[in-house]
Amino acid sequence: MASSESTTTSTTTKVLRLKSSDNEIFGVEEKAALQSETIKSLAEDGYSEDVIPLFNVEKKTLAKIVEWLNKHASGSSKEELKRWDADFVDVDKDVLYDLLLASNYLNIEVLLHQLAQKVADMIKGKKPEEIRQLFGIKNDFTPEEEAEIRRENAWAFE
Amino acid sequence: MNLPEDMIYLVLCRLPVKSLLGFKCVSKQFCSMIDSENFIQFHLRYSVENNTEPSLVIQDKKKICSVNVVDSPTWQTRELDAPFGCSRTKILGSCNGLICVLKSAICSEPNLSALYRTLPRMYNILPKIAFWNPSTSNKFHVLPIDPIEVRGLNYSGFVDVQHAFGHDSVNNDYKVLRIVKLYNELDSFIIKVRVYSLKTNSWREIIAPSQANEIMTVNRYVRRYVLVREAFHWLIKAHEPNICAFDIQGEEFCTVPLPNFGVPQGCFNMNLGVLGQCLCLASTRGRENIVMWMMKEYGRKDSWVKLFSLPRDSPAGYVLYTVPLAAYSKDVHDLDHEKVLLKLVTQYGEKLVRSDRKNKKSVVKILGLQRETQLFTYVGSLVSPFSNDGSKTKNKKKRRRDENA
Repeated sequence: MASSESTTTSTTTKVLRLKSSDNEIFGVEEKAALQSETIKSLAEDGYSEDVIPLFNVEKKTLAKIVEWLNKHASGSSKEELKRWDADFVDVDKDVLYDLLLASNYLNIEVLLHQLAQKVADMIKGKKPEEIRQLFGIKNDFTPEEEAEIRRENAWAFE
Repeated sequence: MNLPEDMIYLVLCRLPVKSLLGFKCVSKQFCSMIDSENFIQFHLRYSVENNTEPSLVIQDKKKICSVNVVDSPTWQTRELDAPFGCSRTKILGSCNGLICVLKSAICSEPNLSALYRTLPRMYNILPKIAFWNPSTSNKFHVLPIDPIEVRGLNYSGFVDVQHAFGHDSVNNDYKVLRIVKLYNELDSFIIKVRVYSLKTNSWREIIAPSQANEIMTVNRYVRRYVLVREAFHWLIKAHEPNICAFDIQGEEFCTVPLPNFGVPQGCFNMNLGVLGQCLCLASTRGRENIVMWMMKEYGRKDSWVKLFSLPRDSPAGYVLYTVPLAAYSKDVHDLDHEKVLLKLVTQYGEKLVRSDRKNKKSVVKILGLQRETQLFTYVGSLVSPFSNDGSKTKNKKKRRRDENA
């Protein structure tokens, strides 16, 4: 595994082992992993020598998160990161939600804001019906109530 | 797939007001979330801090419009339905989502002084004032009229009035400052300073220090006041030019230092402005350039730095004076992309100019607008122009209970 290799070749870079909710272990260099405030505080609590359990993140999501952490610790140029980030968040909505929840749980501020911005760009200018579908929300207004709100905010529907 | 409410907050705070109003009919949960004071404040804070797409509110002779600042050379306007229409109306200022509008009184002519002398309290010299949120509706809050007390004065009938509008974030209160200078017949005057608070919906007198008089004597070409860090700022000329400030939360006047120019400066060729969250000063003098100064650390004389300079020969003509209006950036973390919006006043009139850090300038054309007279940056928000609606309904309930008892 990549993690054991890097511990032997370099004594300065420490590798943390992150475990997903479905028991997959990912080795991540400390510098990259500590961009997550949650991992940082778990590591400070003495988990760093051992495996750090992340009960709320599945392996398919954690793999993406690890990819992001590595890229953002790699010293890429600002322009390159910008392009890379745009590709990274260009995924379908279910993946986006999983990433959003995971970055919130892991407390990775920068990623959380990138993802929230992506969802915002996605829903900007959409109709209420489309929002219900996207977020899986049931319309609990009576037709009269809905008409009333539309009338009050008529210019928003122009 | 359901997102928890705090995640939805993070997404929705990035949306313009128009989208949010539309999303109110998604569901009852969405509606009550968007209407909640919590979300309204969250959205406002986000919009103020990440001012990536600022709007302007502009008044010309016939109308009040909003304009979205975009990267193209021409900007589209949307006409707004202003509280008192447009005649005898002027925008006083814009702050944290609300706009304050003044409608001047019908008679402020000195030949009516005889009439005023007979009145113990003056009503009709003061403008009507309204708080207004142009993003949400045509509803607006008209401030109670607070007559000037002239009882016991040998009042001549001459009076000067100045107003300023801002927000106190500690108490989440919108306030108006009013300075009145009453001249009496012995060529002396008295100054009265009062503050209106939206929370209490009332006016209150505060002590008027000597600076208040200096504010009343500022040149009319100098912009009336500039709002930075919850304080009003005026360029004044007492013995030498200086900046007078009024702290909105503490309700106190103080002095803020000007840069060390090296050579004596007059007030008339300088204008205060605000770029980002910093107080700025555009100095236009002699055959030299227009120099833009910025006070990086508020209140510190040695923190004033020269930001950039522009030649006085501009695409809009020879510049007489300059007003810094706004700084904005598509990417808040990237100052290289920051653009500065300036109003240049030339022999041909006023022109809006956009300039970047590399001093590339371009004239901006706003479509469908006559020569603009007033121009303010503005943040779209869901903030209510009324004093806290919650407390109003509570009061109503309480009254009903009292009546029943």
